[in-house]
Amino acid sequence: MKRSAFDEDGQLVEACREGDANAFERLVRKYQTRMINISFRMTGNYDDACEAVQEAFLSAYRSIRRFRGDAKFSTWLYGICVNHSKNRLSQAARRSHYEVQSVDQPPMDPPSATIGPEPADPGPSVLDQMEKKELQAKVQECIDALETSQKEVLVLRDIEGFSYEEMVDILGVPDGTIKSRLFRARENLRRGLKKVIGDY
Amino acid sequence: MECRGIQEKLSPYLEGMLSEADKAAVKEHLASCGACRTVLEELRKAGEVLGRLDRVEPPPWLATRIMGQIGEEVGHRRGVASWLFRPLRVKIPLQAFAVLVVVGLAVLVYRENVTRFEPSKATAPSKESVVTATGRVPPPALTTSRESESQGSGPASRAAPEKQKAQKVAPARVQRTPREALSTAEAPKAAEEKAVAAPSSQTETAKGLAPPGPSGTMKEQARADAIGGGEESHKARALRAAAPAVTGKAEGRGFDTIVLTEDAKGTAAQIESLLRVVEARSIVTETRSGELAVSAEVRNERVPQLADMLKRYAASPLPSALAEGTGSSLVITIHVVGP
Repeated sequence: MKRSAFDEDGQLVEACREGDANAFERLVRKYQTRMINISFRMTGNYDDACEAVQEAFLSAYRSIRRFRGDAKFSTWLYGICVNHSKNRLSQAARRSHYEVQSVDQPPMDPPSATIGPEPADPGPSVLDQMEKKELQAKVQECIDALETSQKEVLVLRDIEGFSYEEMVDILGVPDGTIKSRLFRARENLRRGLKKVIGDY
Repeated sequence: MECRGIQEKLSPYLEGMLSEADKAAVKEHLASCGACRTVLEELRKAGEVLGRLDRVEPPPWLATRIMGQIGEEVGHRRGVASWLFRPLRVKIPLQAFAVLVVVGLAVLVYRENVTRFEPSKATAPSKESVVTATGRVPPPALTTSRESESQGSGPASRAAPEKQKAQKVAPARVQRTPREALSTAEAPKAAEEKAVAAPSSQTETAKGLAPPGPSGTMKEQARADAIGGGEESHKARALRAAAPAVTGKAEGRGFDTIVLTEDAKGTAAQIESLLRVVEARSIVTETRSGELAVSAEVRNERVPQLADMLKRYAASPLPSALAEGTGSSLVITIHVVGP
């Protein structure tokens, strides 16, 4: 199954190299959801995540001729996404020194795949949903508090579920470095959650 | 193993990444340490919380916007490429137009600066311009640019008979003023003559002959201006007579030349003695309207010698062509023009 997806990506990439924009659109639609989730968890801001993903796809399109194919297209694309998300993070850090968040225009909430319209059948109550949303916001705060190098490995491994092998391809750093960063990130997150949430 | 060391291994322990030995050591410690068990539980829960985080969906416009930007970029790239690599049907007229513009500019610039090129052309001698009234060829220094222009330098004028050219030359010479002559063709020759006369200039001055130096040349010009202004003096007539060759001219079997000096009488006497040296006959010195003219009959073969001797007075050179043929003679008139 994975092999066929890999082959499919290869064909689409080849078509893109020959100038087929529709092939690239198929790749965009295929990977945009996972990319927006990576970027959103890294930046902690939905707008920034959308911008980062957009820039990542444009960069990928411009440099698709240089994609050698010795790694999976998806890991190459996720690597670009992580880099653009990090750029957004540093831009946001600079921005926060000069800007004050507008009270009239709060940041856009991300549309959730799991939290949709009120279901007809008995499910989580509004209160439960609010509690869940609040809890998730606090978890995101704890993720935001991590160093960028720890954040990226935590997001890729514990949220997106990438293998260590894939992370080596995406981040371009050795396996041991990834693990040591990840274990430190988990420990810091544990402490942060305990501090922010208490007994969670 | 202390708690700190154990807690560092709890994360890989949860992932099952520890060696059997480390795994056994951690298990043994956890069995006896409640604090480390709590930390392990918190780590497990943190992982569960992360795994339960909501997935976010991309906005519906994201893919459209991305493809729109890519479309713009591709369009722009194609636009640039099509501009750079236009078909020949467009390129050739553009290039032809550019060539016409460049040529037009070049012609315009040349016309604006054509006068700068004229003098260099004029100094070049041409055979047509040096034909004298006698039909003989004097040295190139006797020619001027105006003569060249009046006679023309094209093939048609070259093909015309020499006699016709001589007829054309004569009026042009009469119209020339001495200033023009001195400022154009004679200047190099006069400089050459001054250079020849330089070694003896001091002795000549002592004798009162005063060969014309730079100041003398200026005086000559001033006098010539006065004559050219319309005064019918003998000087003017003499200068006009000699004007074509600046200061000398061949007429029939005679030749007139002019010597400008501060001391006319002394110079005339010296010239007389020179004529005697070349065995000239019928030496006559006469005053015409207050100006001295020394004339004599010189044998052709002695003309070059006389010409050499006259150089020191900065007189116009006697054309060596006049010395053709032996036995016959030439009447030479030397006008001695004083201040």
